[in-house]
Amino acid sequence: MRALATVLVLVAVAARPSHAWPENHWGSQLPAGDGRELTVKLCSRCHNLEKTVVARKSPKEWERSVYDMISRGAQIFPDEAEQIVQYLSAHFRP
Amino acid sequence: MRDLVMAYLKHDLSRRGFLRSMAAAGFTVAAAESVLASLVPVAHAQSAGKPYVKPFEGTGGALLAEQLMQAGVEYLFVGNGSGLGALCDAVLERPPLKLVLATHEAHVVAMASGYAMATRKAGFCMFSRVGASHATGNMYNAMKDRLPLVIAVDRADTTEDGRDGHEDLEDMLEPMKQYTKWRWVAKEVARIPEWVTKAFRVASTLPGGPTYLMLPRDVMFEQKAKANIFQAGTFNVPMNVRPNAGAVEKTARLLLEAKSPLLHVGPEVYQSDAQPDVVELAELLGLPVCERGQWCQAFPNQHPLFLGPLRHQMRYPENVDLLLNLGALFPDADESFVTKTRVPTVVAGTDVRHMGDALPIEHSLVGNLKEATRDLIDALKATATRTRLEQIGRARFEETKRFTDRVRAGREAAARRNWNAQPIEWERLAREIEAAADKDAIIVEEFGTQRGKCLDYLSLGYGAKSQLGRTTGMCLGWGLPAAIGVKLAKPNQQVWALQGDGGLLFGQTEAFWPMRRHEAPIITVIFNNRSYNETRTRMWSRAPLQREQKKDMLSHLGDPDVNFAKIAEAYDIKGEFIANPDAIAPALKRAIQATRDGHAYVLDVLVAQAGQGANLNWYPRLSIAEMRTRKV
Repeated sequence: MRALATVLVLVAVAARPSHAWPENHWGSQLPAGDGRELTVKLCSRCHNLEKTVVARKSPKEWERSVYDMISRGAQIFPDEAEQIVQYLSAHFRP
Repeated sequence: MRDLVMAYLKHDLSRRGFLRSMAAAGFTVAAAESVLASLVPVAHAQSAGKPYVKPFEGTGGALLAEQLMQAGVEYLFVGNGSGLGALCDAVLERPPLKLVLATHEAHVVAMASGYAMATRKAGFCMFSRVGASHATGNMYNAMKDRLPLVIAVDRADTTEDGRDGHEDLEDMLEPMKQYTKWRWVAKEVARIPEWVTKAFRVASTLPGGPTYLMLPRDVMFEQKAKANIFQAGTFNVPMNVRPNAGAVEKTARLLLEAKSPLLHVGPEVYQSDAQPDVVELAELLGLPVCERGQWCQAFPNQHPLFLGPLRHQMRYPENVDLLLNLGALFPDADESFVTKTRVPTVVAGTDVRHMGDALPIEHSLVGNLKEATRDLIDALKATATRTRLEQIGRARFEETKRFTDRVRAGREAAARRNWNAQPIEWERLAREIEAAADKDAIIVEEFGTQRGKCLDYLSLGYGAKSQLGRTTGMCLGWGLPAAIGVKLAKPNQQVWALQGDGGLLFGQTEAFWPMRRHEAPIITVIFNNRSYNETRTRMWSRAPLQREQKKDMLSHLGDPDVNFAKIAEAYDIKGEFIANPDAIAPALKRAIQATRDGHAYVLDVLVAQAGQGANLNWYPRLSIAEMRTRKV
């Protein structure tokens, strides 16, 4: 009986809805690569990375997105922006 | 000194303010106190002879008008409705009262809101009770913005109300509860002055908010009613309360001991007229300053100490060890690093009902923010030597400036990348407006999440252009009529209404009517991206089917492709459409010249979409014409 209860608890935990995941869950979905750490650190200051993980864009589109974020107030310096664009273009292309 | 004496005797200046102003004028403390001592008996004698009330006889409408005049009301923002008949009769006999008419109740409230924002005084409006449901969107906005509005509507005769009868519900007051600080039905004509003064007092006392009076028609038309009119100055309760002295001293010590303090400011700084004092405090200690985009920019947004909004994780300063929150509501504090890392937080202001919501607080400074900030500066100067203050302030100021300089360089680089792009980029349009607009222009704005792409490229806040809007409540359909109220309040300052096309289509095109009717020389610039850009990008982030199938279910606005310049022309306001970035500057010149000549002007500018699904221009088509089996 106790074993069954343990299994039920484990199933319940595994079946948690996605909105209950910690906000850094999406950051953990980013693959390794140059610029990953910078991307996670700077982009997640303003938003979680769900929209980043699910997006598929060309390098030109990523460049536009990153600079669009800077225009909206993201605190990213020009040299850092280039690294982020390169990382996202390499790992989240169409 | 003569002006100061007059101001003191007229009660426009407190004792403390008088002493401070005398010191600023070069008088010694002893001399200032001596002058003050001689003035006190004069001030008391004036109060002793002051008539507090004045008997009056007339209709209910005349009683209302008399009391409004004593409340300092000059403009009555009104909508059409036969229930305003008694008030209109009274206005005819009282030239100081002027009607400002709009064609929709939501616009009436927005005009009064803009007026209240620009003047920091209560705005009065009145319209038909059945139009009150139209008005609730902007009443909600006014409540969220803590604006002092007195909203009056008519009501069925007292002999007929409460029956769900003609233009009536069983309880017409209840729906207004969430949107108002106080609400009442004035069923006794002789008590109209009492309830009107209460409405003004409750609305105007910080934290402000709309109050709502229902005035039954038979009460308003009652003849030869006798009542006492409360005279000006007898029903105000200004919240110029100083905070607890011990709490001020404790805060000063915490600020001096903190290695990495952060200042967070909100609209109450503006409402308390504390902007210069807050800038002085920040510069004294080199405090980095954050401000969430709310309905006004309190701290100058191009100041070296200004960081932008408080973020859940701060890049700079990294290890905040004290947060001083001056007059900002902080409803999402539980998501913030402040709560997660247990940063000691001091909150200051008058909104005690919401101070510390979701935010454990170290202690609080309850009181007027101007007084609190002045006291804090005095306490800092009394506690630390000038040398120590300079050591603390200068190092932090320079460090913060290095950071904000780099951030601004990044922002400038972002703007220049697509400088000549078509459709026009927001940053280019904003920069052109910044270059063309007067230094003391007032920007009335109603954008979505792209607002930073415009506002961050303008110089806003104390000592620069003023920003009013977007509303905290974000119920769209506010900006254009609000700009009319602002222009009425500040006729000698340039007023710009900056709007998205989506926001404008929330029933605002009719606001061109009062704009033309009342000859409000306002420049309206529509950032037209033919899209609800914000909702599209947000929905695509979390709705996988729309994203994968590239379907823009709700947000495309380009079909029909609305020509806003033509809409303006239908209201006899000149407008033009701009698609070429090089055409912006000449068009702005024409617009400015038109306003100098006393005319409103509309610029419909085609700007770029951004984010996921940008420029897709797909939408789910539904044609009623094609459904027909009979061509009728």
